[in-house]
Amino acid sequence: MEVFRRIWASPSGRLGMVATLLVILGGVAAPLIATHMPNQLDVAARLTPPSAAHWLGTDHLGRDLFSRALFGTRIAVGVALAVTATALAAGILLGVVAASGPAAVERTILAAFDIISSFPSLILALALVAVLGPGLINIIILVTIVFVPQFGRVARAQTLAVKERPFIEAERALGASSGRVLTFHILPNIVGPIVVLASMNIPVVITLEAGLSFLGVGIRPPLASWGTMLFDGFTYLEQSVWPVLVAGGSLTLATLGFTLFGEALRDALDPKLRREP
Amino acid sequence: MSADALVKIENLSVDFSTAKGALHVLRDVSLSIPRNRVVGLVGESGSGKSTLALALLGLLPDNTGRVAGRIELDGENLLDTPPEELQKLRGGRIAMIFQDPMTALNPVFSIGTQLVDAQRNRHPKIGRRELLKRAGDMLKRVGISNPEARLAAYPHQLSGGMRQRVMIAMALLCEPDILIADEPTTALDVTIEAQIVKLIGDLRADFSGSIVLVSHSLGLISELCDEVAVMYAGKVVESAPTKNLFGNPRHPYTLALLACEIDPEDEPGEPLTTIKGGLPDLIDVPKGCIFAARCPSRFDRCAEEPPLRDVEAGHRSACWLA
Repeated sequence: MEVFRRIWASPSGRLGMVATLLVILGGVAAPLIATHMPNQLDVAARLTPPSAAHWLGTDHLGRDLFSRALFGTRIAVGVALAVTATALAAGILLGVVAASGPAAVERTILAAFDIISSFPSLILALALVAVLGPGLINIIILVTIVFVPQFGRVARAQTLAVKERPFIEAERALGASSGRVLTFHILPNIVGPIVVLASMNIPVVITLEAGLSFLGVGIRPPLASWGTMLFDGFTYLEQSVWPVLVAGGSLTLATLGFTLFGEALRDALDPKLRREP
Repeated sequence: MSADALVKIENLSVDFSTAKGALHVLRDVSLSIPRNRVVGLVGESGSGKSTLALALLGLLPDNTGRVAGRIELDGENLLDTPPEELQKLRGGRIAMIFQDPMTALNPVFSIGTQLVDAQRNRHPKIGRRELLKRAGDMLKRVGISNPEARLAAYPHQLSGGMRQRVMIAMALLCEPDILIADEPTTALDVTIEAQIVKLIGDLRADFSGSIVLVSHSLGLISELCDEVAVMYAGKVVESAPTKNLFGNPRHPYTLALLACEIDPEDEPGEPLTTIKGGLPDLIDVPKGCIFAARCPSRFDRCAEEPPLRDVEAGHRSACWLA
């Protein structure tokens, strides 16, 4: 709670927290708030501007943009959380194994990390789509692969640093087994920086998923994704600007919110900026 | 020395592998630690005293090369003991107090949690509540007021002196037969040092095990120890009951160390006494007496290595002149 108080203390942290909460609430409560079903067609009202019936207007098939944006939140945030959580777990596991395992294992893991991160993330994701095919689950898997190395590297570096600290030796001198040292003494001391990295990672995943969906290799229609909405809106830009505005606005709100929140979280957890009581 | 030795170290040699070759950190060290006594290990940095302490714990660093000799705990050779058995001995029969209390506690757990954890090897069957109560009692014994509040505190909320008391409590909670204290006061300021020395002195009375006190402070050693072993360049050069060692040192290195102590009576500006020269090369160890190069009373026979031999009852020295 202390951390949230510190985040709230800075204006950008406050903005980030409000935006993040709005986005998450919107996604969770989408079925309650939405005025229409996201795929409900209203052919009579195609590409309309905002009105009492359609608060943010409609797209080229007459679907309600407000409702689609809300349901799109579920995809965007859901994918981002799933990817980040999986990449975090896999990264910590591989990083800790690399730092404490035999040299050959460490070299193999690091080489894999190097190979993955030598590709630009969008290009690598596109290549993996070509192999796995599009679809929600596949997108989660392949974007996870893209993001594992950064968590793994930080986890490994942190483990190496913590391993040499005297309290680890002290624990061993008092009879802790290596498994116990790893789970109870190393892990809790490395999660701080990794959690911050994870919070900063969420907006990156959201844009990557939207980008893939925009290119038509991500989430497949008719599932409401901001990326596909953006693409459809782009096609009909000459007739109505609203689909692009709504999809782009949602994307901006979410990424901005998570970024500001992540930065504020990093500052709040930074011991250099914190006075010890 | 006596048949009642709790730990007997015989001809212990330890090498560290380095890029330049094997570093002979301990060479042919023999030492016995009697039951219920405090044995001091003294020597300058690099003399091997900390390595000896780590060897007792079975925690030699990863780059350790050859290890030869025996370390017997109640007749059982620790060097032959499988790692899992050794791990059970640590925090059970053997415990250690570390040099720097500021870094030797895990920053993310409360004092209480860590004190409970430390007892796990010794009392695997006792519940957390009971272990916590024992931890509180022990904190009181090591002179920490308001132990209930301290158990909930985190390491950064305590001062250095308090943290060292916590470390001592942690080691004592293991109820070890042998407690190794590696420079327990080096990281503390002098007033706190005096308090900790007094605490260790007081605890001796009702602590049933033996203590190995590693230090480069002769004052600390003379205050607390029954027996002292002086180490130089990986060897024990002199060992004796404390009174004999300080009253009648029989090795030139011990004499030189004693001469280096700062005398408060000295006039300001008086240069400090030092031992000329530096530690010998431990990779390519010179022949003969290891201290000869820096020894003021060196003579012909020093080209031959003097054995550690009895010069009087319980007093051994590795010098031809002793």
